[in-house]
Amino acid sequence: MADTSSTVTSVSDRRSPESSLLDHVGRVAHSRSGRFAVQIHLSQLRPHNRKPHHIRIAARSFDSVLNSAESNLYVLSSNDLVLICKDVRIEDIDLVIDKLCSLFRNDPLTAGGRRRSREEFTSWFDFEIEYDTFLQNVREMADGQSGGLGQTEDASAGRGLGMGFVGEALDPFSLAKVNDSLNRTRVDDMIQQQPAVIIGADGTERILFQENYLSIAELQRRIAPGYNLISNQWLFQHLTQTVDRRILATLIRDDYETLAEPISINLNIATVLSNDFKRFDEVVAEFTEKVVIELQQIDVFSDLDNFYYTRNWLKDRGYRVLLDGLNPVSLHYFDPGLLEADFYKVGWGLEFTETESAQEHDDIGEAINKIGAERFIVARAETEESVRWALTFGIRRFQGYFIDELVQRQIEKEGHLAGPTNKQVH
Amino acid sequence: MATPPTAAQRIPNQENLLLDYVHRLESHKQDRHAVHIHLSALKPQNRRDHHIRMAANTFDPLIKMLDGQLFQLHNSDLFFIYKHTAQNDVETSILKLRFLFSDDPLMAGADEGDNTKFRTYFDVERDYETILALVRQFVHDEGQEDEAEEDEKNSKAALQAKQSTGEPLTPRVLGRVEQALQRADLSNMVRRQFICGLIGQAAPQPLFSELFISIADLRETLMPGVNVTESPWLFQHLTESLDRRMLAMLSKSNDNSITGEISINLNVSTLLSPEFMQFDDAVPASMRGSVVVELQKLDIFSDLNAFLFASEFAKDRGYRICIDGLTYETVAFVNREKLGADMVKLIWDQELVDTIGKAKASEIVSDMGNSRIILCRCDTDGAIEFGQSIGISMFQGRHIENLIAEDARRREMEMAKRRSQNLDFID
Repeated sequence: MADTSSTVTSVSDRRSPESSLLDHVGRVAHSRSGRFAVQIHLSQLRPHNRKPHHIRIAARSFDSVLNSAESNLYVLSSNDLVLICKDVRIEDIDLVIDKLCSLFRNDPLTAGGRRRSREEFTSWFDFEIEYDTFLQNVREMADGQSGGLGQTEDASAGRGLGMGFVGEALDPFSLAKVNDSLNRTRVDDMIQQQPAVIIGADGTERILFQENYLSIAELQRRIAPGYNLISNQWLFQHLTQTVDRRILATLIRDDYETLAEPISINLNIATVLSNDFKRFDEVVAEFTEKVVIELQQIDVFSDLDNFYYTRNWLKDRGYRVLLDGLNPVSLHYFDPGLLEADFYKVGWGLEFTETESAQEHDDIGEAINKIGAERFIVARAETEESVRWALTFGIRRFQGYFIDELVQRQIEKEGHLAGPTNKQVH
Repeated sequence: MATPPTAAQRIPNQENLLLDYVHRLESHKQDRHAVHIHLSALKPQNRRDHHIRMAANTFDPLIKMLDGQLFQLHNSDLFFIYKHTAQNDVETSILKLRFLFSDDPLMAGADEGDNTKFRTYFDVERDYETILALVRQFVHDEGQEDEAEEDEKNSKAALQAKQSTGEPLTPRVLGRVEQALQRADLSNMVRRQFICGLIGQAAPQPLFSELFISIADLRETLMPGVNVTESPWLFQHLTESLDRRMLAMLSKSNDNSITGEISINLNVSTLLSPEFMQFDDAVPASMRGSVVVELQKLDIFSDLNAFLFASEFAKDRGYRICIDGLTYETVAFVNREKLGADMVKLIWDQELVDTIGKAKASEIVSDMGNSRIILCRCDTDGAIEFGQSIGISMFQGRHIENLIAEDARRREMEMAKRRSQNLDFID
């Protein structure tokens, strides 16, 4: 097998891949015959589709082409791939590009009409004709790179996560330290509230509940600067158990009898079964209808028996149970209604809905209907588009930045926002 | 009667306290009632410590009102003795418990009559002798159990008991274990178990074998006394490290035993990692088709998009995908075809028979595709019989290993017989 590892140039090399590419193009100035370049515009993929593993795997798909002697692949800082080869059959390359299209089929760049998307996805340069154009392009890329190393990292940080989540990956030892300091840190002022609202037929909003949560970005800034707390899913999950305890310790000081609006808290099932929750439960006493407990889908499926038991216990005590962590795509794959929660929270995202087919839309509608639109809350509602999407299914419960703005505007106009008018909030 | 061991004598156990209480009750039996709640009959997963604690809490208000006295027995059963006036409150508490455990098969059927499988009521005045005999039995059993605990028949339960008392798996312990893991020689911890086709009474036909690192061995060697089950998320992190070690071993292996059709268990994150790419380089392209990648069901629910992307990638490279770890409860949430998996593994559980039932189970199997489902952890003949009766033809588990060994022995004997016959013939 050809030594592919040396032909795939990555950003970790001391030289930038752009300058290596420029060298290569310069070297072949006098043997252009049969040579051509293909640029694959992975940089145009949605940010969530161009994480390092996506790019790594995309580059890997060219292995079969790289087996031939005169083929090189460059992974540029922008995430674009550039393949330079000599006398390779176009069909062989097309085969790889087909695979890539299928791999990224949930991205608008490659979805839709095959012909159109193929044109946007790749650019071809025949060295016999377009050598100079290509050389110019590569020069510009190399120039742009020398001044702006690191720029690409910012751009690829997901919109939802923002800049707060760069930094060194957490390992078990740093997690232990973060855990310790979290146990010692006052978190009261890091607890934030975000309302979930019901939009009435007349367009006015009513508070369904206020979610109380600990801002992870803030937590990271304060107790773990330089670390990325969400870099490893399992270590982060473990950390949330400490977060749970700290939040409960704060919320235990509230008076639930006089609490005006219902609240929700995100908890691990293990936390609900712990003594910390027992103490919280004693404080809430008979006002449990003012508290919604949000459980994460992954936690639920890690031990269904425990979930069923916990759900029954919570419902029996009068709490309402919310299943968090769904998204529009997951509704297409399984029926969360079997979990018999009071609410289901669907995290909206353009990445889930912009390539949605009419059939998929109908399937999702069917899934929502089966459970009842009144049990659904569309979260991460950041744009009007998300609200429109939800309304097509009859969903009127929302949470997200877009909603926060609406609420703010209504408060400015009327001075306050109506809470739930009666106990029948769902 | 066996004397309870010294530890139990030092701190009077609940059984002894109950016996003492019943003795004292003899002179004021009137208007006293008792209820025995058989939590010990619940499924093991429904009677962990927190379940019992919460069940016992249900009686807190009655205890505070001085209406009764609760005893939590060693076998998880509850025994509550109360004044007759509290009868309605007691019944309400029992109703709550029934609701809490409504998913347990013990609660199947209507709550009829005085004494159901879940609870037994007593009128202390009328049933005093019965109660006394019963409580004496509790004390006796408790003493026996302490002694017998060591040679528990069910080794899994014993292991669980051992684990539940160990040092918790904290981030620091995990860090140390993962450091040790990098140096440890894991090759002797790699186990192999066959997935076999099994039709009727015919001998099992091995289809492929799963290679895995024995967690029990790993615990013994690298983290004796550490309780890995109590921190599921940290354990998941550990499996990521194990994945990488396993891939490294397979990449380097010139061991002839690691050939043929194999399956390996991987996290989705591993499938997308540089380590998997190295493994992929080391495997000849022609062999990829004979490698099955088993992905955990939890990965589907943790990041569906990553799951779909990773399995699409792996299938494109020629690997086959199996979704592992489905239980009788989670199987309803997984649509194999939509998820694009080639196979699924369903864990054998008596609940498949008791709770799901044959008709529904057959339906699940035909929805998944008869030839796409493997019944795993088959420890008994009964598991296989039931599996076959619902249309499953692929099996894995200790019982299958026994069948393979038996078949090998039988063949060897036949060979030996034939050889000796040949010798006879030559003679």
